[in-house]
Amino acid sequence: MAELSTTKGISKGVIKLTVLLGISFAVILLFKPFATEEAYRAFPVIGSRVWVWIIAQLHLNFAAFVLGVPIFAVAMEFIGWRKSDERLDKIAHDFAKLFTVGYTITAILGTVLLISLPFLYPKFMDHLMKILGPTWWLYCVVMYVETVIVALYYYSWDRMKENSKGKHVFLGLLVNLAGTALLLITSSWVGYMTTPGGVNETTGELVNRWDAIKTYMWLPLSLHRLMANVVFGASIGAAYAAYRFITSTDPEDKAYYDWMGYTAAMISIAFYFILPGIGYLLGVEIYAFNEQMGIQLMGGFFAWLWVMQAILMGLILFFINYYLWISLNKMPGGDRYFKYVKLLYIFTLLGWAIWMTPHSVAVSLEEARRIGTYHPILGNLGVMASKNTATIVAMLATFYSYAIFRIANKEPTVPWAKTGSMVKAAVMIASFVGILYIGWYSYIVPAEFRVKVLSTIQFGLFFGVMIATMVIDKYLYKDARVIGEPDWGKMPDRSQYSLIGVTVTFTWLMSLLGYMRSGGRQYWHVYGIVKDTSPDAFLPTHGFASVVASITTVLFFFVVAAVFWGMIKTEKVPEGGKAS
Amino acid sequence: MKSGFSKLVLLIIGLSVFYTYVGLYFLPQSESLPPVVIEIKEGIDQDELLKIGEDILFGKGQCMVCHPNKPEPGMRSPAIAGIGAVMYERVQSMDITEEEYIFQALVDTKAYIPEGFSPIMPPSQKLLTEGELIAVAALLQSKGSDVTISFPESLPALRKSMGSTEKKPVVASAKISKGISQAELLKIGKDMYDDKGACIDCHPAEPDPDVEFPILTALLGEVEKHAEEKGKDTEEFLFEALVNPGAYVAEGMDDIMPATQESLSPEEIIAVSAYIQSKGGKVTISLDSLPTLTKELEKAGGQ
Repeated sequence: MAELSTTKGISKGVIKLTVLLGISFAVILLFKPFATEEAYRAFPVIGSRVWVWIIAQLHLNFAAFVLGVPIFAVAMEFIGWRKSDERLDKIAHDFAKLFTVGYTITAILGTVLLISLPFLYPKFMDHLMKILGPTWWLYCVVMYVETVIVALYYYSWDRMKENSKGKHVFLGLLVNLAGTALLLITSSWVGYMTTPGGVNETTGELVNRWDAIKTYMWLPLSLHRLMANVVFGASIGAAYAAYRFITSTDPEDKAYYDWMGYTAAMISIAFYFILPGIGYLLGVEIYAFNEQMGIQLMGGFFAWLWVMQAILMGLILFFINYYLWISLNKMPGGDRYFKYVKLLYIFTLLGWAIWMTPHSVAVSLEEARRIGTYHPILGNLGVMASKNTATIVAMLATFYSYAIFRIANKEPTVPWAKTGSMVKAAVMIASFVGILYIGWYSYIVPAEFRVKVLSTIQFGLFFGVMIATMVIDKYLYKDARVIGEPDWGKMPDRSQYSLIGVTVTFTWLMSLLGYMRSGGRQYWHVYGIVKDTSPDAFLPTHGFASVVASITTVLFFFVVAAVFWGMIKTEKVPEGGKAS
Repeated sequence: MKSGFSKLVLLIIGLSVFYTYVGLYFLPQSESLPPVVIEIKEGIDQDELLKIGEDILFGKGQCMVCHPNKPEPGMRSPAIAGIGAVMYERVQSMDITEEEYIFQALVDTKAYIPEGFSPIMPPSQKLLTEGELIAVAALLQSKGSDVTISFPESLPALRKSMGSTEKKPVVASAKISKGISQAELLKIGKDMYDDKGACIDCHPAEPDPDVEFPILTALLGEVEKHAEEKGKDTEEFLFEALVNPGAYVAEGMDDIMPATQESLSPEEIIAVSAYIQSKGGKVTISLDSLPTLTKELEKAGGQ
């Protein structure tokens, strides 16, 4: 790709942002959407809610992408710099290329949303501006700051590569700090809408703006989004690499994209393991704000969508496991571990099956009256005690698929190799037994003890086992005999489709969970403060929500494919040609 | 390359279609509508009251989310089956009636927490009307004890329980202070009408086939008509109708409206009155009308 100069790059970014903001403000000033007595205006054909739902979700997907990918890229650049690994620097640069294009699309979608909201929901937006208006102006300032730093970071890559790499990595850090600031600001808006504070409960008038910003949900939601963005950003990177792998014919390119896909996918899954814990924290804060909202979200109307979530999360684990099991083929000596795959498959499958077992099988009042609320056997599996256990078992099996892959082409040479391997096996067996025992014990203790103590111990055990295994492996395989180097690029296409499957499923999951988080407010724009009196003041059927989630997912990938296509096209510009 | 791209498109669309299929055909399909007030007529038959209670338990009240029908391991809250018998047993060693115990447990949910459970239940009166609370209480009593709770006979006992938990209005009257603009007063009046006063539940802004009471825009006309009949000033009569609603019940209507001062401060009643006035005539009510309202409040208090 022919490079622009840094100054031109910055000017281009600032002009783009100014034009988009200018369009939004011009439309709002010209058409004065707030000057109305009406609380709502209708969007043609699909209605206001569905329109805003789709645009907001697409905007969020791209925002997650442009906030998550830089974290990943800068981490790669830093490690590449410290280890003098050119491949890591290349992967970081490729990702930086991805997110710079992503910014423009995010900003365009943000502009559509910015114009849509005051026109369709004038009264609600008027309220929001009265309460959190200054944060919006701060958001604009941070957007400009980020645009400048991103341009500086990307366009100075080659210039700073040799002598100023440290400073360049620091620029990358600043990109991430600006991104995190944007995330904190936007999370404060969502936090206020769901768990409001700082306003008079009856009149909705502002009492304390800082209290309206630092609501119950603010920090846990920000943290959850930050982690989810890394998962999402890295999985998009993996999908990009997979696509390049599939469409490439050059063995060298195939090897590079195979390695890139593997690295991105493993980072994605590593952060994916942290998400349930932070989600738990978010749930605790929602319960602390209002138990009824917590109950409604976790077990009321949305109960069946948690089953859907389990189906999707389990599928993500299966896609990754499948990818890792196939990957054993490219590791010389990997065939020694094929025998364990069946076992890991059974554990993952059992964990997934229990995870998606519904607690209450009755789907209507009439059915509950007729057959009872709970199934005599399955009803016992659909509770938190078994679901926590099943989730951890499935995730732990996935971790072991990865742990096996890492050592598949090595043989330990340390004198205590046999003892080390036995200790590792003992840790693994003890952890499985311990997690299952806590799961069983959770049935017979009061709910409070299970929620506050046993669940924490179970998750702690899960992370403890992973850390212990990695530490043992580090010493056990020090100076190990390498049977052969991994044959990067020697992978069937189906392995790459499973990586793309992870990304598609995760995108769909984000749409679903975004809807659930928003739906927790039920018939309120701002819970308990601004009532939704529009014709859409109800939660649609799960089927309808699924249709919208699919539409946004397909639209998202349509745009992403266009971005990838554009990037690949620019790579083919002959030397001396003009960059598009 | 083209084949790889086509497969990719197929994969994305295929997975999305599969997830949509699961959402459409494997999950229950119902909508969650905003809660509606369930009308409970005076002297309602016990069976009917219990049926309404059961509907609320499964529906509007969302009680079944935490309370399983039968005891089960690790349950979050006590089971519904036999709960009436359990409560009957408990009151034997207490100095309260069974009715009082059930109402108290519903409205002051932290009052009686059985061992091993956490105080996670929200106060039921935030979600349910008085009639609905009585229906739920009757249903709970029916699970192992003789049903003595009925509507409207049990209203005093329920109100006593609610009174003991009622907090002073959170809205600072200071917000409605001298010099407030008419627009601000009307805005507060609207908020009171829609939310805190919950007037909108029975007097909606738009005609509603399920609601038999006059809608918001018709209220002023009603007031003017009755004021003329009684030879009173409209403003004075509007205040009287709000603070002593039982005095003027329109023909064919039930006397169910609570006195406004039970939920609103005098300044807030002024705001609501001005708001009602704004829906059909010139707004004459302001904070200067406070002495007239005070007089009506004193009269209502003396009855």
